[in-house]
Amino acid sequence: MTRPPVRADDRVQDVLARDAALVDVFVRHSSHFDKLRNAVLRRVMARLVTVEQAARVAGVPADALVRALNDALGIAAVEPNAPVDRAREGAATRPAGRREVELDLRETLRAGKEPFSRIMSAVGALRDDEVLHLRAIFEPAPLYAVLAKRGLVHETQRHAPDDWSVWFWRGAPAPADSGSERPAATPIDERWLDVRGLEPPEPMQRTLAALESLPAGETLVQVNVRVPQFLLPILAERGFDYQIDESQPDRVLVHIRRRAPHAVSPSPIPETP
Amino acid sequence: MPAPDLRTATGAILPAAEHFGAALLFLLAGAVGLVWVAPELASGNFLAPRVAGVTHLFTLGWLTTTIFGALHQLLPVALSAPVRWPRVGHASIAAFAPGVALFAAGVATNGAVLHHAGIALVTTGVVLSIANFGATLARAPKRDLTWWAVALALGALASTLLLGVALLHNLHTGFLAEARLRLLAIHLHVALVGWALLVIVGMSQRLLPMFLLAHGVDARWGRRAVALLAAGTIVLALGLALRVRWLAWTGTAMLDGGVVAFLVQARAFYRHRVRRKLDAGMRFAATALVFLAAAATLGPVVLATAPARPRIASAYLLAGLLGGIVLYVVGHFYKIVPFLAWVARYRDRMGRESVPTVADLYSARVATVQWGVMTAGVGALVAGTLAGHAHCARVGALLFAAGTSMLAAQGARIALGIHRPSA
Repeated sequence: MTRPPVRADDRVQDVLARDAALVDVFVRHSSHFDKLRNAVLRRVMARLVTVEQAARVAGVPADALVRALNDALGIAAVEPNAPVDRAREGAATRPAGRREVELDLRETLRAGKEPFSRIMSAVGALRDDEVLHLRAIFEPAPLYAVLAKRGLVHETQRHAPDDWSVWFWRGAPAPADSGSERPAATPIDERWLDVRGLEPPEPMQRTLAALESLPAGETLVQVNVRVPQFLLPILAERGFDYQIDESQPDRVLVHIRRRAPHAVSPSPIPETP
Repeated sequence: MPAPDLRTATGAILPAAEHFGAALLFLLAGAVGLVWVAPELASGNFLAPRVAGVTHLFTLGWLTTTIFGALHQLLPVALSAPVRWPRVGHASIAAFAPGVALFAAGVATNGAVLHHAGIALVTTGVVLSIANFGATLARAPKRDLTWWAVALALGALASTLLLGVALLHNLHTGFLAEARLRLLAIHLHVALVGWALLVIVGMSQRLLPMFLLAHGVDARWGRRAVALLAAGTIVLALGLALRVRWLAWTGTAMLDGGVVAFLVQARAFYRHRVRRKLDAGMRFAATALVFLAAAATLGPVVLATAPARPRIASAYLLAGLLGGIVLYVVGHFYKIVPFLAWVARYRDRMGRESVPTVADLYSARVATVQWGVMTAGVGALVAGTLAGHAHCARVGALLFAAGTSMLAAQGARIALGIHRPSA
């Protein structure tokens, strides 16, 4: 039986699932791919990134990487498939007059740390009248498609080979197949804040900061790995109601919104029928 | 789902702080006492009264007090179960802390009045704590590994107390005769493995992923560790009590298996951590795991050679207690205490204005020096004891005391809110 070749638009996770030893092929092309040896980062990043996007991030030719992966699998050379530039999805020119929130990840990336959770936290807290200004040491191409699914458009500017600016802002509504974390039919008055990659007390701090600017009637959905026991009494003190959803094994959702003015004591948000 | 009870984690800060403050004083006293008894340890004289007194400053004073304090804070977080009677927590420490001081002084000086008063207060504190935490566990909505580990550990604590009372009675009557040494060995293992290590293993299933950001790691080795350590303690105790050698060896093998399972589990958490650089707390914990492995290696040697080689038994105790358990708890002290102080101090300001970070509350540089000094201290103590070299053991004890002083200074800095903002 003929095995299908690796293609530029295959997810890195799917490629590695075919043969874990292909990590070595990636690493031979660029030391950037050393991170794939870390099981946690592999689980987080490899499922989001295509081979073509990974090659762009690492600054290596995608067709050479695809060819080397196929060679390692013993698959004869194939015609490169037409590049699927999902990364460019959602590119635009940033709107004027919005408040800019800067997230500088350059030192984090140079230190070899994983920035995804910080990015998603910042995105979760991003208001409609704000623009997130991301600074990175390479073009964060895989993010474009991920954030496009959350309804964010972007503009990219390269200052130097290791200095990039990307601005993200809420633009066109999210497509129907929006990301796996956020339900497809997310109500428009909900904001999501994923704090799973943060060490206490950062989840509490970021949640409370996001709540400070939460308009009445809107709900902040905190995505956590556990029930945030230290946060709950503070929410009650500050006049927020909450509802905890532990129905999924790998995460806890805390739906938070301002208490109605007539309410006199802290109470959970009424259960959705 | 119903709203959680609001008498949860933040309400438990005060009892936890009371316990941690008292524990730190006991650690300091124990470290000073260690310098005093180091030559006796190096000569293998672990039965000397003052060695027993100093040992209780670590086991009851530092470990048990810290664990009680940590349970006040962690049970609501780990098991979604607010501590049943918060006021009992205050009453418990009010009886337990002076009790430990009197008891340790009484044992060290052979003062009958002191240790009788001490054991009465210690018993009061322990019984109140067991009742409080037991009632808390009974109301926990889920019974996972952490629940079972804490429940089994509370049983071991009660057993430790009973065995301790029997040993104390023996000091006056000698009724145990030649069984004294075996009962002492059972008392030590039920206390250190059944109580302290079981709590550590159970809580580590929650704390290590949280502190290392290593979520989604397979937890099966942790379950094996809890099962082997709990069962191994009982089997070893039966083997020693009944003088059935194969049973004692089986128990030892199970305990070593439990330690290995815990090390495998902890290694998995460390390997899967997102943040590669270890902070002070997690560095202490990693070092403690190495000492725990050393103690597990010495365990079978002690069983094979006892009572002919008392220095090996002393070194085993030092590696396991000071290196494996005390340093592990010191590491978690660095994670838990600054966090509690930070929440207590900045809860009204967080999210509204810029506040210092938790790491700003203590000096990372001092913590690093302290880690080096305490690790070297335990290493020198173990090596000096194995070699029978009193000077080496005393130098080790001095280093350990110096490190403990640094921890006390850090604790004072955290409590007083003296901090230097990070750059």
